[in-house]
Amino acid sequence: MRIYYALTTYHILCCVLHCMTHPTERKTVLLLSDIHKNSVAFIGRYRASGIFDEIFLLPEGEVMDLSRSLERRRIPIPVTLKICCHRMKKRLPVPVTAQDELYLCPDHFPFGWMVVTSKLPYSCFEEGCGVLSDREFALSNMSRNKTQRQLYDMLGLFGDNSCAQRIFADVNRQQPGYQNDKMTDFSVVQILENLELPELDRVLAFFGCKREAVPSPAGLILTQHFANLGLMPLEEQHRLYTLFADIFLQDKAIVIKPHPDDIAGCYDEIFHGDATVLPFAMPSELLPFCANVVFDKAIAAYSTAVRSLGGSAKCAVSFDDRILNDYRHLVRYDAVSQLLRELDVHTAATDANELLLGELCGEACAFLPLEDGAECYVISDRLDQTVFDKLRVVKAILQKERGTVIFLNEQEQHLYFDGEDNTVFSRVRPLLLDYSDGSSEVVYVYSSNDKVLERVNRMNSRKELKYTGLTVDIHGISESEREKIRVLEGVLAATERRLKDYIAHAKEK
Amino acid sequence: MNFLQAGLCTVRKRASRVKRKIVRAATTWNGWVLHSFYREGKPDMCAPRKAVYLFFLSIAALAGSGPRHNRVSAVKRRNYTTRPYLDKPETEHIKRLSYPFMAKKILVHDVISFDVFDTLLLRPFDDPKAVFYLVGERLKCPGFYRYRVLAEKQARARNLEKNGTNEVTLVEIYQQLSRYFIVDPHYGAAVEAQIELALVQPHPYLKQIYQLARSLNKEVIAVTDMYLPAESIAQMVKKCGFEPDELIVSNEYGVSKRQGGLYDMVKEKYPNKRILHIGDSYAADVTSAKEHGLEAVFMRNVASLGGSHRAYDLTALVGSAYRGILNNKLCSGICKASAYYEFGYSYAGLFVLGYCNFIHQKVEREHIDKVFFLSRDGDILKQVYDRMFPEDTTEYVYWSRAAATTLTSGAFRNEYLLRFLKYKISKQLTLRELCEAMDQEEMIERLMQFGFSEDTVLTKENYESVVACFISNWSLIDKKRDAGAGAAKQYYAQKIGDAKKICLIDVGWAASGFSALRYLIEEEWKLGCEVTGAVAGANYLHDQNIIEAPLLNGKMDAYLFSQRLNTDLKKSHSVRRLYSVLIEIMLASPSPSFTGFYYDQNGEIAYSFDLPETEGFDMIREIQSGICDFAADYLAAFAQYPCMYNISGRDAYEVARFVISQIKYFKNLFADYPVNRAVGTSGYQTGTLADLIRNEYVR
Repeated sequence: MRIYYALTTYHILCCVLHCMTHPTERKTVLLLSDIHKNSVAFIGRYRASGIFDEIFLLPEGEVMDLSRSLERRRIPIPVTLKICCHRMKKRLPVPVTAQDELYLCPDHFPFGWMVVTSKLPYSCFEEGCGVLSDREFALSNMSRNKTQRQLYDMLGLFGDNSCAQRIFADVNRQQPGYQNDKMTDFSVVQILENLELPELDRVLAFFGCKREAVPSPAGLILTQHFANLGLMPLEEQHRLYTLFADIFLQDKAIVIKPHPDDIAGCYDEIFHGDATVLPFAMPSELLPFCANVVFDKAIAAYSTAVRSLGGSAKCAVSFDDRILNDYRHLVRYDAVSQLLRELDVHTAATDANELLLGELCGEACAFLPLEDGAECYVISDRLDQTVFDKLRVVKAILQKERGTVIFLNEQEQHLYFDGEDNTVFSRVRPLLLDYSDGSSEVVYVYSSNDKVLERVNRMNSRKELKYTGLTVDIHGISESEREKIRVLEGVLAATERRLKDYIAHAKEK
Repeated sequence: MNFLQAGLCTVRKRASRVKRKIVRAATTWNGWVLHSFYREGKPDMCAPRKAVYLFFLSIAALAGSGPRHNRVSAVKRRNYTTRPYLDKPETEHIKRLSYPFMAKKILVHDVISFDVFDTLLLRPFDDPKAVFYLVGERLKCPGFYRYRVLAEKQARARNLEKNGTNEVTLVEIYQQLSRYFIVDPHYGAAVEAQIELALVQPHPYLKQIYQLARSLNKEVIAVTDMYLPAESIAQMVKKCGFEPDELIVSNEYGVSKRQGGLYDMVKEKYPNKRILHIGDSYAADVTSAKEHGLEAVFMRNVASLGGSHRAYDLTALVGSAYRGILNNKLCSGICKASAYYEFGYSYAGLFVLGYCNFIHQKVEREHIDKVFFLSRDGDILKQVYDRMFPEDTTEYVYWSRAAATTLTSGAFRNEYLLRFLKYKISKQLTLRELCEAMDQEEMIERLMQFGFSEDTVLTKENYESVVACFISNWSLIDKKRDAGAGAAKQYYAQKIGDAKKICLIDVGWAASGFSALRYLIEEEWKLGCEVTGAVAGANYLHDQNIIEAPLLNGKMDAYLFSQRLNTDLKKSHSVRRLYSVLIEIMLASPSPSFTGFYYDQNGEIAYSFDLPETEGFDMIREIQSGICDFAADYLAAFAQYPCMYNISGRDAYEVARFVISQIKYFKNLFADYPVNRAVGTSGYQTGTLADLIRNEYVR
């Protein structure tokens, strides 16, 4: 009997491809860990594909729970291992012997522990594409499970033990100079490219996807399961991706590939059925074979998955972790990029999210660090220092520069005003962002050049945020708001008095 | 000996503590008995549990305490006494299963079954029976509510006797109703179903769970134990955006979820499928579902989650609607809000909504051309009013006690002296500070000529002498007034435009703002416009009853209470317990207090403000947002029943009193709220509500 064991979607793909490309006379059995809920949900479809003779669910979740409870009771690791292996053996749907051909994908879960402690020879697959040589990355996923980490050291998992005969890995994706005697080349991408069309269709059908006819030009969003990871609520995750579609992929057919764990995504609902939503349980390696189009732009919020798309996308965009906060101000950033184009600025110094600004402005404008200086500045409210230090930095820029300073004003810090010098107001113009839901935001522009201020005043554009469900009007101050301005001037004068009192009081202290 | 006595005393104390514990434990086990009966639906389990309960009760009696049911039930009742959450926002207490968790749960099932009422669908009432009032009104039947309740009970009992099931149809209920009120059963049932359809709304959290199930390509069914006909339920479900693959209603099959027959039917319809049922009744949707081989998720209903934290001393229909709206929003599980937002939503919303409707009725009745909402309390009132009655012409106008006092100083001399001098005696301010606050620096010199020094503190003893100095130099005050009067007149002339009758809206309490502005518009500026007014509540201020005559001649109306309306509320409205201050928080605006008009160097009207209490602006914005959302939710829920907007002042006040009588609520959640009570003497450091409670609150 040839027994495959798989945990994640990528692992299942490895097993499927291996089984199809290495036919055998033996009976093929796929054991799917029930830790991965997708396996529990889609086992019926996997069985119906007929690629494996039999497919069983392995109750590893129960064994993992047992290991955790033993860990809480401070049971020594060897005892824990023995108990867990015993339970695993009892729960096996088919007997596993030394005569069987074993393919483990991966070997650091209860089934792997049992195989290694039973001294059964096996072959294993690398944890992810190119991860064999990146042990630190592989171990980082294990950091939350103490028992698993200790068993890794004790048993020599990831194929570092005498039972592991071969390790299937993509040789070309390993770190340069990496050597491992057990390593056998197994490139998922290459195998998929070499598959005959009917076989490829079988693989696609196994994962519930088909070849989609996507109109050109198209944009791809690769989602991340932020809500699952507790990084943001689901509604915010939805807003992030609808804003991405509205701002970065305007006038393009939208294709969404949810992360395999992004089960709660509901992207069909969120994009009102206008987007092609690929199955979340599909490995991203199948993406080029699903959509018959080269994407104009592929975008991910905070994920490197987008980088491994190869030739499937003309341009791949991924941001760093700052995007988890900055996406809320995406429209502000977009308004600033419009303003920079309007003012014909080619170089700007900024302490805001330069990746985001760069993406929005394209090649029209280059962004430098604040210290380098430029014809124009874009200042964020983000504070790496105290607000007083930031105010000092801004004051220095305003005093020495003859150019233009744009204040994103994300947290309404109004950094152009230091609380003392109110002459600055005569050189500041607001750029209003009025949303159709009644809310509004303001970006402020300081300039010593009257023509620039006049252009800000005259600026007037409208942006339809189709998927976010909003329209935003970007404009300067109109005549009809004169009374409001007069009132605000009065409020400002009162605020100034209060600030002065505070400052005087601070000086007295 | 003393040592022995102390030891005995300790032993006695401990024994009494143990006794108390036993009694408490015994009574807790009473809940354990009821739990088995109601929650787990296992009456057979009751007997052994009851035995254990009685056993411990006997031990308690032997221990010397006795059962003492009265006392114990009092303790228990106290635990359930309704009051607001005092420590943190209500939405922080409400926990629902997370979407990722539910997504995983749904993913591994083939069929997702939802209960319908109180799960997929919510009514804007905390008690579904409140709908019967509206049905009764439509059928013009006095006492319908009671007849309808009785008829349902009797129809169920009859069916149980006849067919062994207590499932009934709505027509059967109406047939039974003919005992009390003769109506065509089909017509009656249709009216009730129609009203239910108009009111029903989706459960926001369950709607997302439903969409989740749909996006995961699961079969979705709706299963309900209900007397309404399946077509009506299908319409309701569709109206709320749900389109289940199948709708299974108990009265069509004569079996129920509670008895389990309905689950057997579901299993027959979906053989070999993994079925997950989600519902709000533990006995019918969880225990019974599990007993019949379904996986179940308990989704506690919103009324049971919020019920013990709501005001109940309201009229039946508005009270039920108010609580229902709150439960549906705050207990749904998707609302995450701050304490300030909840304060606005839960306690100020009904008051603002009711007051706006009251104003609109006055506008219609008295043919008023324009409604003037006076700053700052009028800010939120105008926002809600404009949303409710967009066809009315409204203006938000700048006005304040300080501006009123200065602008009317030519006529109301004593008012000026009282506000700027007498009421500040307790603050122990120097004459310089007082003159600066009045913007009357020149007066300092005159006071010194009168024999005062600038550091002289104003006291009761020297008050009359200071007043004498002010009166003899009144030309200085006139000069100051004249500087702003032109701008003020121009401002109001512009705002009034060609309106012939306006209504001034203020929160209260003495209507001094109204009196001053009416005098200026009608008498001094002669703008040719009749002025009326409305206040939320009318009370005397410092023994001055300036509102009596305007109330009598109809120039002024009060919403919550006055000397002519809800006098019991007026009497219990305790100024010493800061009730007025706390109600004013409900109508606060995130802007500084207005102090006056003047012309700037370009000859344009300019506005001056007092120091802004910026510490509170974020809180106030949250409160306002809560009020606006409550108004929006309430208006949407009863769009087809505008009579529900007719909220009596008593109801609005009861809701407000529910919270303002809980000073701990404000101590915990509003301690930092800035309070500046005196006209014109604010410093850059404002006082807080905590200070005010400490200094002025009288228990």
